[in-house]
Amino acid sequence: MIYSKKFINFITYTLYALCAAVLLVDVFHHKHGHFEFEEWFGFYALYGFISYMVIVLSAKQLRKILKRDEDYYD
Amino acid sequence: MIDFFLNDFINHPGIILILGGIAMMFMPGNMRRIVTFALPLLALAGFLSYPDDLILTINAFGYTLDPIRIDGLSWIFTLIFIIASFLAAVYSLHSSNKTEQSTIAIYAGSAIGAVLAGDLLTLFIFWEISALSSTIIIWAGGRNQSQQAGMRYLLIHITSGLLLMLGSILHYQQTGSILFNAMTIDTLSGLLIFLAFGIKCAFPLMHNWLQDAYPQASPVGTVALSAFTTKLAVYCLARAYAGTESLIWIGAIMTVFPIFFAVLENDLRKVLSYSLNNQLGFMVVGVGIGTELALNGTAAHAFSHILYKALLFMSMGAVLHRVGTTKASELGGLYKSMPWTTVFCIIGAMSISAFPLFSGFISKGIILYAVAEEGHWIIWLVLLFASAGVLDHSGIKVPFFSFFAHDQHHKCKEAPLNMLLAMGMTAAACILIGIFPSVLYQWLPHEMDFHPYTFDHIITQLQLLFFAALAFVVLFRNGWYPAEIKSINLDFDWLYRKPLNHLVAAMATGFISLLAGVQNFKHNSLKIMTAFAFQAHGPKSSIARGTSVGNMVIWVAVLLSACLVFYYI
Repeated sequence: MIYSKKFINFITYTLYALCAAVLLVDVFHHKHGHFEFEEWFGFYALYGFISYMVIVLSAKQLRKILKRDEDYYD
Repeated sequence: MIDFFLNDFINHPGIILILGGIAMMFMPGNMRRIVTFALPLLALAGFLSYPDDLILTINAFGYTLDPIRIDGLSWIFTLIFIIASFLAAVYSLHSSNKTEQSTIAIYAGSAIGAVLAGDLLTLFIFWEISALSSTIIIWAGGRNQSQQAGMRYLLIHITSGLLLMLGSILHYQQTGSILFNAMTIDTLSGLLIFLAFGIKCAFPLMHNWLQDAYPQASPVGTVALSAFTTKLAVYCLARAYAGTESLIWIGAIMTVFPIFFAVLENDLRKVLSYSLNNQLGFMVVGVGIGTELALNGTAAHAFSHILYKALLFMSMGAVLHRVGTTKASELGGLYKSMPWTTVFCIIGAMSISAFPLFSGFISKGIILYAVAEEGHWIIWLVLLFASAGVLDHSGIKVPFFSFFAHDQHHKCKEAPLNMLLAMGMTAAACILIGIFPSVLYQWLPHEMDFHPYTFDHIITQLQLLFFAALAFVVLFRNGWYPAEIKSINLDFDWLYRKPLNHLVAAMATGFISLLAGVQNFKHNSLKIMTAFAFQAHGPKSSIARGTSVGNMVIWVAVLLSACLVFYYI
């Protein structure tokens, strides 16, 4: 069931909807943060998305240098 | 006086666990299981019989010692250590590994004893017991690498103990006191003790013992190990080095660099070890900030972290127990055969990712708030960056690749009942703290005015997490997410496992050939000397030649007359 295309799409679109909903809050609600940049529109959303991309994609590049066979130390 | 004394020591939760653990080594299976279960409860009863503020001072060996000190900070760490030892005990009930089960009690007891220690000597003694007992737990793991990894672990922790001892001696010489209170890294003694704590806290470049050894313990062993050693170090740092600015930067680095390794690592229990390291970073930053709010954040985060990290290790331990591996490349689709474990793992994952209504949200929030209050915007951004990373390696990767992802059609049973019970209780605690944070906040060392469930905090956290999850979906659906492959990744331990190892091996070979050389030289020179002596003193030598007595008399006469002549001159 979980592996059906339908279910995967359902999960994905739910996430899209949630993202849209929490971002939409920024339109109506003015956040109060310690720093000025916290109050920018969509700051947290953008920061979360970019951080995640940077982490995974740079780790993927690091793998080229760091990857060894499982028995490397044996 | 003596009564007062005995009473205090009989109720000492650490000593209850240590003595109980030693007794357990001689007990048959079922009796041992009952004691395993009962010991943490006994320890809790003993602990609660103490007042909230207590300093027990004794004079021994000419020193003034405080073997028991209870205040706000040591109280909450002792409490969570007792809770963790109970959960680990329930999780271990199915096990027939006598050594492991009894050593876990000793190990938990030593960590509690160290937290309650008010002087450096008591701290050192429990510090060493915890190092030795945790090594035995790793050795009892019985995996391919357990012996070697345990030996590396022991060497590093003995180094930490030596530094603590040296630092304590110097500290005593300088101050005349051996009590364990606030210290500074500006003196040599303070720096040595700081490094001793730093090793145990897995500071950057001193961290590899953790990722090396924890995955080599058994499912039960790793759950126990994950709770105590590193959080004991966090406690010690909070006790002695609160407000030390370099800790802010050390902690910030700790939150970031393990993330990249966690993303790449194939063994999910090793992923969790890197993730443990990254969570410690948040606590260390809190210690570095050092305000009452920040220290509350550290204590609260240590508390909830011990629970959700134990829960995650429990779920992966259950997978290891049933499937025989925790390598992501060999797992997938386990939700069908292990539905409960799946649910518990997801609860742990949501707690560590700090979703609202879960424990991480109400504890990590304090630290981030305290950092912002002090205006450290770079550190704050680093911690936020690391929070997105946590969602990847612990929030998504661990549950996704073991229970869902590519179905590997493993046919196995659900985890044993006692494991499910332990996971269920831990998961319940994560949610309870998440929904009712005041349960935890009332136990924190300082008064504070902090409300985690503000609209802004909830919505910004959800924005961060949902959009980070969106990034995962984008990466995964486009095939950009790094594949799970059978491999290991080089980390700093490469230095001592490869080049340094070779160097030492080469030095050893060199030394052996040097010894052989010396032996050879001795042998040869003896031969030459014998030959020489034979030449001089042998039967055909000049000395052996017979010479006439007359010759001798003439020479004596010549010498005597020469003497006479000289005398008259």
